[in-house]
Amino acid sequence: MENLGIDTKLIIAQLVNFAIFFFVFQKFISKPFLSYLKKKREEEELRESFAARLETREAELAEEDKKVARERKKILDKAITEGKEEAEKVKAQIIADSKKEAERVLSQGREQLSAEREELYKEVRKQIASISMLVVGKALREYLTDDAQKKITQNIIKHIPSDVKLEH
Amino acid sequence: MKLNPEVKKDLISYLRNRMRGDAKPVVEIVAPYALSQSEINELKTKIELLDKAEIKTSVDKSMLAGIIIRYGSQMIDLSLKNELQKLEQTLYETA
Repeated sequence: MENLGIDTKLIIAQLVNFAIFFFVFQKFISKPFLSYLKKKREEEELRESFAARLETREAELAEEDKKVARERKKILDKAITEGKEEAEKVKAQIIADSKKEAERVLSQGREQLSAEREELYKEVRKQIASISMLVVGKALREYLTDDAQKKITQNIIKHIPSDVKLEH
Repeated sequence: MKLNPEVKKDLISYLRNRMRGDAKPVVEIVAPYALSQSEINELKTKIELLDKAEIKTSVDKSMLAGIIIRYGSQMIDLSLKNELQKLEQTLYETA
């Protein structure tokens, strides 16, 4: 071997050296590094899994949001429709009440006017009757002589009905 | 309560008469002139009450013509003034 230029000792030493190096490399570098890589890969997988779950959850939440929004819109639309219907009802009621009130006021006004007119007619009739009798009374007082008074009185006495009665 | 002496006297007289039972009812006849006795007599024949009553007469020119007979709170109004008032009422009611 020596003739071939190979130093057996050196080779052995190198082999031993390599073995030591391999052992040391295996023990202190390769294993922790591989372990580290494995850990990192697991972490990455976990992260990806989380990310996927998050994405799914996000999608679910988005869908839920949409659903809630749809529900909200539906409720809102319903509330608006109901509100409009209620407002229409209230409006119709207010109009009906107002009409009724207006008719009542109008009717009351008519009645009042009629009563006032009737009262006025009564007053006019009373005044006419009163003035007429005042004029007749005055005329009679002026033109009735004592003789005429006597004659009328005697005529009244003469024609007193037999069933005349005292009154309160 | 103190009574007017004159009212008291009248009241005593009235009550005494009532108790004796000889009090005549007092009837007042009002006319626009002083009624003659013949007119009063004619009235007595027409109205029975006057025959048994003590009659007082008085004059009221405002009644125009006719007579009013008063007995207590009751009366017979046969005056022209009353007829005019009735006519006024009729006019008022029917006009």
